Amino acid sequence: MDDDHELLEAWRAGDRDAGSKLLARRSREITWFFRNKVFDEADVPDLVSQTFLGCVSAKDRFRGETSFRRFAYTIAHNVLREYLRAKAKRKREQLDFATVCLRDLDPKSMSSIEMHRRELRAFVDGLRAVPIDDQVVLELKYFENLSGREIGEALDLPEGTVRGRLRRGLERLREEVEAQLSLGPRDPAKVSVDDLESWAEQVRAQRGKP
Amino acid sequence: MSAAGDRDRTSSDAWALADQLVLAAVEAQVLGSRDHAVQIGRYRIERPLGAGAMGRIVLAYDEQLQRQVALKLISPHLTDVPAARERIVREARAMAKLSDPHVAQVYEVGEDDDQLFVAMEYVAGQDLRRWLHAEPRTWRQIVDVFVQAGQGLAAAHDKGLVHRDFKPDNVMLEEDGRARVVDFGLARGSGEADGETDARPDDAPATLTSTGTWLGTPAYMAPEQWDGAEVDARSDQFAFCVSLYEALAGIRPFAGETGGQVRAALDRGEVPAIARSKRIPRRIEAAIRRGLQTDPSRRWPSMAPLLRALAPRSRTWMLVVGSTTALAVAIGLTATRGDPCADAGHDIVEVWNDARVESTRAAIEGMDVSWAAATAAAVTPRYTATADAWRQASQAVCATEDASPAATRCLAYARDRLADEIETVASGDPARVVAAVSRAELLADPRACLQSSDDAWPDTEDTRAYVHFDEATRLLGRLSTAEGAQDYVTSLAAGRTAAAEAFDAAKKSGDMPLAAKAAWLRGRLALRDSDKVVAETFFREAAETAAAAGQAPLRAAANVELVYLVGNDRDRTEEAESLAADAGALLSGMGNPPVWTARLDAHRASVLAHARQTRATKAIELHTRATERLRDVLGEDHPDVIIQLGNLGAAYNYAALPEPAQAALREALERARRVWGDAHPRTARLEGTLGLARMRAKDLDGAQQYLRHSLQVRAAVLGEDHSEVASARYNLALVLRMQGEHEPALALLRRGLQTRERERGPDDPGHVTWLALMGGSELALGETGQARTDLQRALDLLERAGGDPERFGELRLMLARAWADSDPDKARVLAEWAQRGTTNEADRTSAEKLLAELAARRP
Repeated sequence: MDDDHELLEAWRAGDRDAGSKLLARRSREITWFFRNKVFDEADVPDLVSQTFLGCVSAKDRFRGETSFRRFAYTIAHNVLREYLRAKAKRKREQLDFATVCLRDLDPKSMSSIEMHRRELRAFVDGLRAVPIDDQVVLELKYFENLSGREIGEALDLPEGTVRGRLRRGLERLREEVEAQLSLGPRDPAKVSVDDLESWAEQVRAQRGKP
Repeated sequence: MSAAGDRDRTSSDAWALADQLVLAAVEAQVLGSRDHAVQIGRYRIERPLGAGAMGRIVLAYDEQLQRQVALKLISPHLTDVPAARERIVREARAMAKLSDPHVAQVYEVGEDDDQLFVAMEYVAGQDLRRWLHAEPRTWRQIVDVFVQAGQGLAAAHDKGLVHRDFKPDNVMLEEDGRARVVDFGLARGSGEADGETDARPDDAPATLTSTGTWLGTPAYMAPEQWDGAEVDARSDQFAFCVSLYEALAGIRPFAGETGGQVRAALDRGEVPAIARSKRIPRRIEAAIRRGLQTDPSRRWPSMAPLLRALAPRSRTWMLVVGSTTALAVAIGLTATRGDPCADAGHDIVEVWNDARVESTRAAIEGMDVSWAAATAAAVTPRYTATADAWRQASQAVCATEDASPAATRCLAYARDRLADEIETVASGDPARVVAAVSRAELLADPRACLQSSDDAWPDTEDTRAYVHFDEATRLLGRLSTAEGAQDYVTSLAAGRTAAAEAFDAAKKSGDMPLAAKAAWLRGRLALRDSDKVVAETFFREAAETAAAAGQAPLRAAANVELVYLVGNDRDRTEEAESLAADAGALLSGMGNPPVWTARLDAHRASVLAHARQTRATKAIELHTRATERLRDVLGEDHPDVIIQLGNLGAAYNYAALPEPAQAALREALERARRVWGDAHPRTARLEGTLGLARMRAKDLDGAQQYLRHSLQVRAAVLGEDHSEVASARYNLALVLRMQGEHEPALALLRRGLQTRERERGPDDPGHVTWLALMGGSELALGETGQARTDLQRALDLLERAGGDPERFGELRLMLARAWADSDPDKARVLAEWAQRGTTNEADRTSAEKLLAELAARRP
């Protein structure tokens, strides 16, 4: 059932209520797409708005054959890239999203996802030390609980690519979280993939059901 | 798992609200209006503004009052515990009562569906961090903004409120440049709030601010905040100084990537000097450094004096251009048009100008001390004269074809020193100002630079040397101010360390004039510490270094001090007199500056008093002249005047004129009580001298009273084992013995001698007097055994040191008495020696009497 599609068409035709319904239904996903990728929490609504405005105006690109999720994520992804490029412009660097991470762009920035437990904090902050392409994939897995196939569909990527990014990102994340949780060279922290899974589950639990 | 479960539940509520806020903001942007507007209390949420330590802050609209507000939504995990919640509410209400132009107003605290919120004034503008990054700012701009923010903090502190998370992000700047502090912390430690223990800051990234788990941001947190100890206004002061240091220096004083590294840097307590290239006045840097002390008690007592030390001079700078002409006229410049040297020396206007004259005078007169006005009146003409001379010298150098580069460097150095001195005095800190007149008299005459040809002028200045020097100056001054009484001993110790560090650093960087000044300071501090031998070596070092660096005024000052120290030793009277002559010549070359000339007079008087052939009348004359001179320059109640009045009294006393002695001392004491209070060691010292004058006037009860109080105060402030306290015990014992109170006298003497032995070892010839008094009292009390031991020891010491025959006679006579019962033969031998040896008529008579007694006892 693709109500999303119908709602979007109605919204494009001028039905404000349809827009309101679509927002109510989908904004949370998109909000969480941006939440851990901004330098200031106040940027999140702007980016979500840009994404939905992009959905409304990008008539040619959405004809119903793809799911709304893929469509929205594609636009969100572009919005994100624009946002990061604008942020990085001051540094006059060409951004390679496969290698650069948020922490490189602004070492002092931190996650706007508040976590009170030390491990969870290291977890969400650690994601910002993962190359952005891999972070996008990892967060869909961890925050939205999507499978590799679903992620591939949402981002319009071959499943093999997704798996490669997940593998690479996971390794980077594990190292990063271990470094953050270590209390010193003599007391290294050990973080397993299962630990990451269980922390992700706790973040999802804190986030609550829409 | 109730705690964790509860936390998860409440946190998920928080995210639901956060997501709803995003949705509402998106609706407003995309649809033009909100369908899912979030309403909290009577406030409609418009958009998120950011996250603070206690929860997110949103822009909201107050439907009732039709205005925008910043709404702080307190994180649920902070309000889980009812007590914590109550405290937040209580503190928010207290904040609401505070109204200050530099604090964002708190309107109300309320709750809606369990969500606690605080409604605050919405300040549209830029936060301080962004403002600092937006474009390069001058240090004056930066200090100006910080002083405003600091005033906000001070206003809150006055109400007993503490921010707990001060940092540049929490200062908002409006378009018109007004700075306001926002986001006062309303909760305390996380431990109190929810019992969470796994989120201690020690392992957290330094940049983590919004977790809400603990309050305070590691990079700005004071050590006591790390330790979870009591946090007070001084912790805010620390955070303020970290922020200001960072803004000025471009680096943080305690650097570290992680919280652990920051903590380690804090423990080391070392703050790197701000690069000289930043051209931050040392006055500012020193003020900040003090706020960065690890120990809160070593920071500024409150924000107010810190802000005074930072006092925005930026406004006075605006006036510089206007005042230039006035100064030029004052100097009597007759430069013609086209004269290439017309503008030479103009730079001095940056250091001293009409506006600065006024602000300096205001800073001095703003101090709550009775001698402020006189000091202001005395120092400002000296600064003006130095500035004028500087300009003249600069023009002369400019006009000289082949002027030596040394002259230029010398002038630059002289200018910086004048600027330093003015900054020090403009701090308005009594400890720094109390010796301002005496320092002003020692300012080098810039015209001497014209003859400068050597390499006395360092290429680079070591900031630390100057920071230590300022600290040592302050601590020495503190010994003369009322507030110095509580920490007299620690100030003294810290002052000696700071002066030593200043000296070493100055010497290492080749800054010989500063090294000379630091050596002089070391001498002064050693003298205060009754460490006369060491003091003399420092003053000698100061004199030599000053001579080598061509600093005549400083050499004069060091010689004046030496006159006193050398003159104390009756074997070196001649040397003292030659030093006095040398110092007098130097001072006359400087135009006989009144404070130093008076000091020289007083010290010459002390030489006369200590000489073998004392000239009491001449000493009194010199002391009187010195007192008058100091009174004229420094005002009636200046510490130096009070001390000098005490010297005068002591001189009368020494000349056996108890009446004028008491008059002078009573006046000194009265002033001392007013200026320092009753419990100050300096007041106590005067009480002691007055006590001795009373004793000489045969008012033993009065004497005992003064001496007893003097001892109590000094023992309390200086410690039971201070050498000065030992002397106070001795003096009190003298009176008690005269009153026949041998038992308490003996106890005092024994305790005092213990202190002396610890300081000087068992064989010091100075112990003889003590042992003799003890022996006498022991005899009076019938403790003949102990008397024999003590008197024999006195006699041994005296024999080793070689004393005068009277002393021997007196001791032998007493010892003879001590042996009279148990060994009359020995007693007789001793008495005969005493009779033959002594020149003292009374002792001889006593000896004869004793011999007669012993003869009568014979069977």
